[in-house]
Amino acid sequence: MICMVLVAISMYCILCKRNLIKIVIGLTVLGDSINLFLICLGYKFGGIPPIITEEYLRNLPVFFTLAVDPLPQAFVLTAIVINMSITALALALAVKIYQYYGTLDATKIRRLKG
Amino acid sequence: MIPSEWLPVAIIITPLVTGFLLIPLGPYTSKKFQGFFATIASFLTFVFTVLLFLKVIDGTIVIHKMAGWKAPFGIVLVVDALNGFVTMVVVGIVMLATVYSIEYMKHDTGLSYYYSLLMLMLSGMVGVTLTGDLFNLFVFLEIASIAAYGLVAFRLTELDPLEAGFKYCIMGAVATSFILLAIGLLYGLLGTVNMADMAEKLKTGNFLYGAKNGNIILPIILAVLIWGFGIKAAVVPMHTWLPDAHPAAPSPISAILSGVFIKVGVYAMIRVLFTIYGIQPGNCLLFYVMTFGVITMVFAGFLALAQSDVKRMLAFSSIMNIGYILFGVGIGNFLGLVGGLFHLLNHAILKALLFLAAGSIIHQTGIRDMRQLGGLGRKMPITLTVFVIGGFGIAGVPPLNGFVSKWIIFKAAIETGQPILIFYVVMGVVMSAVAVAYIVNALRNIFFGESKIDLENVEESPPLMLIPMVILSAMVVILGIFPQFGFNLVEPAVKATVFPASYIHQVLGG
Amino acid sequence: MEGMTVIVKTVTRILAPVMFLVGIYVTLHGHLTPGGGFQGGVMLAGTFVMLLLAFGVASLEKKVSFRVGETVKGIGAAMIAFTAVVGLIFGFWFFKNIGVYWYGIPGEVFSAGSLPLYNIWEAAHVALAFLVAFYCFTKKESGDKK
Repeated sequence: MICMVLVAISMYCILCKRNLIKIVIGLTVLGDSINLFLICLGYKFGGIPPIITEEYLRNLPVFFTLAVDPLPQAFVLTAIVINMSITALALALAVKIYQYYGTLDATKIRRLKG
Repeated sequence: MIPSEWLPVAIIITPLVTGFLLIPLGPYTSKKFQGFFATIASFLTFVFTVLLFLKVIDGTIVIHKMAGWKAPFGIVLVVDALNGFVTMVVVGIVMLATVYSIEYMKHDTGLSYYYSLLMLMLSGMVGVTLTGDLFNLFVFLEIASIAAYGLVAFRLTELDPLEAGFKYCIMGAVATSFILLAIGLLYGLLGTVNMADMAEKLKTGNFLYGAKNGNIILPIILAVLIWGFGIKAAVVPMHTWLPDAHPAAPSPISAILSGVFIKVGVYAMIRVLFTIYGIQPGNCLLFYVMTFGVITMVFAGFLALAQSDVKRMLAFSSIMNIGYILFGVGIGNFLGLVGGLFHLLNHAILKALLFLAAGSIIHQTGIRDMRQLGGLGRKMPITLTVFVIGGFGIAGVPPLNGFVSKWIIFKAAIETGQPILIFYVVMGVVMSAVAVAYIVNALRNIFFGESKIDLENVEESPPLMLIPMVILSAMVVILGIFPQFGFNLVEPAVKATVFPASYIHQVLGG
Repeated sequence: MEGMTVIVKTVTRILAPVMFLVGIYVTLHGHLTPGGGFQGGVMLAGTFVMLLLAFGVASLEKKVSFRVGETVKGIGAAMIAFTAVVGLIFGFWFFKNIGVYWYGIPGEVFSAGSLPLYNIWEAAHVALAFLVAFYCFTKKESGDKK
């Protein structure tokens, strides 16, 4: 539920805010809220982290029933990396735009129409 | 020789390693060397792709299990005829554009980054088309998209690419976040992300933990997926990044973006619709896809008439043709899919040709505004010829290949006999006329008549730029006069799409 | 970019080696504890960025110049692909986990096939990629992406 509220807030942020940096922050929040949603998918009540330590090494079936699903965690890892690189790219572009336009206001950077 | 199972991996790895190697080698090598290195790599990839397509053309499926894990547990690269066909289109166009860009980008700095990003984008797109796993598709789509954002904003000293690249980056990132959301929902419902496994589970209704109301969420997930892939593929309500991004990119990149990258989004939609969901023709969801296609076609066609910048006009024409492809795909029966996929091939060739020709004009004259150009026909005859061939192909004039694919789409729509489809066909024909109008307008402005400014020193483009254009225009003419070649390529792809049963069986059983 | 005040510089001098070590620890123990190549790489990148902010670009550029950063970053990335291809040739499937690095007992550091190799190359790649990206942020005229 919280994830959906976060998604809604981030979409508002991206669409309605003017400052370029705020748009990028909205993008990051969007990505993070979806990552949060993905992790919550694999949760089991009373679960443990899916790492095989010594006490579970001999008792594998118990481990499998208790452990939280690790596959969404792998997805989230990949998604975090991807979102981070998009953020880096968008920020680099924003820096360049600032150097050329002197402003970060999205409504002033309107040389292209449509 | 090389076992055939290694081919999909070789196709992905060759551009990837080339892209990674070009970064450290950049400062130590010359621009020509980097260009040739990239061209050789893309040519090798093309050879592998053709070999792969020849193997899957008769219905066998090449499966590569990564790291030896079997299908539902591990990531698999699955190639059937649909995959092989789209991959061949992708790699072919990128190879020609790479040859073109050796000459076009000679005056830019930082070329090692350009080629490296180009190779990474190729690797990403090929990964999207070759994978059998929905999450892997997301990852490779992101790789290709990020490389595309970087390439659009490549010329950092001009203002246009920066703003267009930023806008594209934000919209594309929103798109992929929502695609990820939909994939997560599908995983939560079905417990797997392997495409064949999902298809199997959806057919038997076997949801995870026996969730009873899974059927309600499925259309919502499909809608989100189509919306997300639609932003990538520039379908109309979500197309706003394209008219800014494609003109602002360097011309070979515009050719690749317009000709190929958008098609990859359409391929992802086809995969999701037909293989995973197993939709049969006549399903009402396909009707919505078709309606999207027609709206896209109409909207973009009329907007293209009003453009004065040649690349922007071509960008709107790209959106219009994506509408045609979606129209063909949305009809759903065998003939409609043949038309849609054939138009995918045709439009990739045509649009790449047109953007390369436009790039040739811009490279020689330095102007993009059509109203200021004029009278170039005498000075650049080869460019004129290829632009005429490409332009008439896009408009759908008979002996060229655009006509063949549009004719098949219209025929397929009429064959189903539903009245609303007749209305759509009429819109399609009207938009073809509009396409003729703006192409002729462009031709008149650029090549004939008087020029407003001094164009005395303009001469024909260098041969390295001309060769890809000539090859592409030859393909346009050949496919138009002998469409059998096109059908031989497209029909196995359509067979593989419409009957996904053997795909599922071979991936899960083998 | 100039550096910061003396307090920041002293604290950074103490903290940076610790962060570096923690980053390497997280990388090497990637198959035993949460973490791995990417996480360790980000911590190493954090170290570099902290040094860059505290001491200014110029002094960091003397130690790890732009060219060196680019070269090692590219080699790191290429080595990931290379290890995967080696897995392909010797193990027949791509990315296969071959016993390059001793199939030891699960729970030891030197175990789990080619996973630690991936972690190391990944960490090197990520850390240097961040460093190169930050170099580009601070340049005035030219620059590039990622």
